[in-house]
Amino acid sequence: MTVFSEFLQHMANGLVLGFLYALVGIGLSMVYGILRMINFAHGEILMVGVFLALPVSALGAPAWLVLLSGVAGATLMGLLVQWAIYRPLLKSPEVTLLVASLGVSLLLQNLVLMLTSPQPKRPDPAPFLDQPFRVGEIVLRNVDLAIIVVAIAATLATHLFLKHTRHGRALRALAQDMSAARMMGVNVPFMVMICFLIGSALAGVAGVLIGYKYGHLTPLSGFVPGLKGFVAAVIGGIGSFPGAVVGGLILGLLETFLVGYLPDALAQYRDAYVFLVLILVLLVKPSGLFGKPETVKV
Amino acid sequence: MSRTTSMTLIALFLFALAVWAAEAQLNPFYLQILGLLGINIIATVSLNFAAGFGGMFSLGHPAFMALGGYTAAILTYPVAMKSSRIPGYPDWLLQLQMPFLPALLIGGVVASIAAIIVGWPVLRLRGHYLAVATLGLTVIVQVAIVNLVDYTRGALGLSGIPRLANLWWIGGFLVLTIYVVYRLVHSRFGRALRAVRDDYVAAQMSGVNVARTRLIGFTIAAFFGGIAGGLLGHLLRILTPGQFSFNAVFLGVAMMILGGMGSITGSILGAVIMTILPQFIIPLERGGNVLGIEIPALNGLTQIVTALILIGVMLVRPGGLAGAREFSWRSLFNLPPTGRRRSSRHGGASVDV
Amino acid sequence: MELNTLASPRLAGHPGRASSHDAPVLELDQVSINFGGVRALDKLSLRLNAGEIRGLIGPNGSGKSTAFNVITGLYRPSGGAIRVAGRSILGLRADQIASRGVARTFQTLRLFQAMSVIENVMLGTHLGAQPPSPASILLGLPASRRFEAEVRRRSMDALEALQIADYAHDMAGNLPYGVQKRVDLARSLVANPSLLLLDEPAAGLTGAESHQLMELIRALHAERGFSLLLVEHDMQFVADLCERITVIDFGKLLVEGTPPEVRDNHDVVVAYLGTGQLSASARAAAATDGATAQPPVLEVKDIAVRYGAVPALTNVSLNIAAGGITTIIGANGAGKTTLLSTVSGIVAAHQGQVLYRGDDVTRLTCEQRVAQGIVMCPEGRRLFPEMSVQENLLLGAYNVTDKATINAALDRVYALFPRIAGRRKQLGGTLSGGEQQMVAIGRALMAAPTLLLLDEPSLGLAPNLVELIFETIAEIRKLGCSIMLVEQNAAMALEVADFGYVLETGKVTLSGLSSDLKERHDVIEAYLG
Repeated sequence: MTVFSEFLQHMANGLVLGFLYALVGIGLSMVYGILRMINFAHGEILMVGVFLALPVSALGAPAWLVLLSGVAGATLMGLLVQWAIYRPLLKSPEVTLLVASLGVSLLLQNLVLMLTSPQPKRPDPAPFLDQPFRVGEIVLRNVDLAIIVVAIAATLATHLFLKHTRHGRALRALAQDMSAARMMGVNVPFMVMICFLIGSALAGVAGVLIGYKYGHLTPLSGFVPGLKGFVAAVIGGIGSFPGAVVGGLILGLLETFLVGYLPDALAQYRDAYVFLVLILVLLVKPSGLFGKPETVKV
Repeated sequence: MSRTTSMTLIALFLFALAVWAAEAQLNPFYLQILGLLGINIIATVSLNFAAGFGGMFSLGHPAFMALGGYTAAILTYPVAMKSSRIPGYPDWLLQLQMPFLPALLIGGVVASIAAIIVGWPVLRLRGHYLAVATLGLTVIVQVAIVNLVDYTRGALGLSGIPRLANLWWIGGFLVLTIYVVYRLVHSRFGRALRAVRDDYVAAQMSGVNVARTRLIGFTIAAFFGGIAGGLLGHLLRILTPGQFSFNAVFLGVAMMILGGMGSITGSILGAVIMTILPQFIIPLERGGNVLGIEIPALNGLTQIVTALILIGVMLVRPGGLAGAREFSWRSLFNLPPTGRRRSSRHGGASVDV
Repeated sequence: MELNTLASPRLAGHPGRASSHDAPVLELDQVSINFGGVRALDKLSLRLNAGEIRGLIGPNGSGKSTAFNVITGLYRPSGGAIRVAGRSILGLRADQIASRGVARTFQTLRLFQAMSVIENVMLGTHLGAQPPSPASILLGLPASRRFEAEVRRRSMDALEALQIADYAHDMAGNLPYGVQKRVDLARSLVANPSLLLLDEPAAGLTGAESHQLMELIRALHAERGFSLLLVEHDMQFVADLCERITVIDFGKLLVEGTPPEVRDNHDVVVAYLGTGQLSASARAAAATDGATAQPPVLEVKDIAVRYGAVPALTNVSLNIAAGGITTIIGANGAGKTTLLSTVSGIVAAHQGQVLYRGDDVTRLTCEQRVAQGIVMCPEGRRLFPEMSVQENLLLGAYNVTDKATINAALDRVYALFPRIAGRRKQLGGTLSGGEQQMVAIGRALMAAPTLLLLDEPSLGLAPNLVELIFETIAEIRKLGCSIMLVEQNAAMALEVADFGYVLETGKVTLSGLSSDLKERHDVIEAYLG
């Protein structure tokens, strides 16, 4: 393989990974934009979604049905968590929400662990998805193509919702000025629910796609993608929808190139690099690419 | 000598007596639990110093414990085993074997240095961002330990650490940690630290250097975290990266918030409960017969209980068990408070309220 | 009163008294600062001599708080020089400036909530004498114990001098407002500053309380000779206490002089009260055809509101006539915005009732009131900066689902404000102040309100735009909605309104037909003392 085509291969892989991060990051970004909280349990919602889709897959359902059940599962979980735990704590200090979301993350991980087994699982193989897919010298699998298509479709749908519906507009307004949005008659608790619904649904999409691509699902499989989704959101500017998408793609590419070009000894630190990137971004430009700097009120 | 000082000395004496009795009488299993309890208290009190009193909610404490623990272990590790197990180090280090106390202290210092390096840029982040950045530190340190196999034995863990920690050492450092934290909190520095926590803008107006105050608080917390790590390694005789992972983060946070952030008493309470409680739950995890009822193996039950505590405390009593209250001899024995003075009765142009 | 105990020679970091031939204690030289596109301070120059008591006043948004924040180092100016006792403080951190002898109080107090009162005051001694070494602290050596005892004694004396010693060990966050204010004052005084900046020290205090405070400050000043720069809205307070007054508007120096000079200055009166220069057509539109026999669209009965411990409104009762324009005027800090916020539902009253068209809406949320037809156009416009003009307007119609109704409303708004019709796609944050105000009013109109609440629509606008806005307000009345107009620009407001209420420190002090209020001198006094 020539150097150039190797580069393109990494590029392709990075984009696929990036779309996954984008799907996860959008939900985190939207929730932070309105509630000013980092939902540490976002990755777990992703994981619950795909675990709920596994039995559907085991019954022999086609991939798209598995995807839908994953989305449904994640959405329900997200709404439940929001209703039972985050909603009562809306007016609490920052730290309280943070600790609560840590608790939810731990709870979900271990509930699933208790109810299943630590053995890694995968959705029942969908032979179509495993087929290789070639573009010139670049080798992907159909599942990668599916990821790109589904991710673009989901992102586009979200974008249309935010831009052209009255609730989508209200959601954006809420993130910019909550008080003024209330003066327009926007019902904040209802909007928060919508926000979690969208974010969790997208996480569910990501979860099932991850399941088909990597296949090695454990109850701990959600935590790291959740955190990386957060890093993606920060890079793009937390609270910004286009930011989460761009941030996800950048992170996917960055991680893939680092792992691809660094010598093996250093490449194993891939998770650490992601966090180093996070720390760097937070130090240099905490508002990310598309975000506004948060000024302190005096 | 004041009443309270003499009470404290009596308590210390009783504590020493208890340690002596435990060391003499108890079997190794219970000794280990008590040892872990002491270490958890040190870890929680030091974390609370930065998070509760300083307002810096750090999820990176396990990283400092790991740094301190591995450093101390490497320094006391028998030379004979060093070159075969952890050959990565330069010769002078491989030939070195230190006594316990200096190794422990150097571990603490290494953790402190890491805290300064990381803290200087990171501590100006607020709330959630600081939490994630410090969580990143935990991940980075854990990944590094796993991958630097020649220096740490990687995921296998560094076993064969000499058993140098016993209840005397742990008890001694326990007392030291509580004493130091208590003294600092009630000093000029402690006031500045708490002022930065409550309102850093107003703190600046009083002349407090916010960045430096935070950094000092963070570093001191890291030092004692490193000490706790060192004690842990020499109690259990093994250190693995798994001990300093996300579960450690969750457990540490649970201990701190259960007791109450901003209270030394609370941290002790929280550590005690979260150390003892799992001992009752772990047997349940294996499943079996409990009171005549057949229970299946419940993996992860301890974690679930921890999680429920995290969520439950936030929903029901976010201040924790102790809130911000501290234990004091006065409130225990209903002694009259000192230092209260009546309003001025002087004449002149007084202002009536 | 034990004033001399506040100054302890041993622990004083810097002497309070300065001799008169020193450099001025504070010098602002052509200081400017921008926030986004707004010039908050515009080449402001000010000179404060040692021992002087100076008032800094100006209408809402004139830049007073910004000036304080720049002096204390919380903001960095974009131009100009600032010197304290002859030395520049540009580029210094806020705590470094504090160590030069500058202390300040905050309008919002900013006490350390989780610490006791005496600990709050002890923070004030942070910059005092050489602190004990860490070793000394940890070992509990006599030096550190002496230090602590001395700090504690000084702080206790300060509390006694301000008559709040009984609260010494209480948590600062739980105390009554008046006590918290004294804690804030004690904290800055115990630092023994050479320059003291007081930010609205009389806010929320009754007449008697602010009089006491003034006496106290005067006595402390006589005793210790610090220099004092004071921001206040209570004109009586300022006039009685200050030797000279600096008036700023739009971030620029307007006038500087003695209290009588300032009060009689025409520019100052205009800056505060505005001019009533409505065009004839607008005046015609504003004219009512006799009294309306309809019941009032809004009745406010005995409302009381507080923010934490701070009282904002006390026993406020008023009526808004159906189909008319009622204006609420008054100085800054009088509670006008709080009143509108209570009516709109953003703020909850802890006492009293709000009746809308006869129904009790006191317990309804803001969103529910909007659905009923009470719509607020907030102070400072509050457009959604990253959304376009059209999107902002569409948001105003959030509750409306019928496309045709929405389009009709849009057309109406663009007809009312042709200037923004051409800027439909422009982002809200990039519009000029006047255009933003138009969009804000338009946005409120999109919901077809029955009662429109306008909060200071003329704030920060140039005179010709002010006229335009008020003419538009007169037009809006023709659409059939009732208007409750809060304004600082009393002259214009009284021109366009039928009826007026004057608010002073959270209470209604005057009311009547606007034609009557226009003539009255006590209206002017309510603003300028």
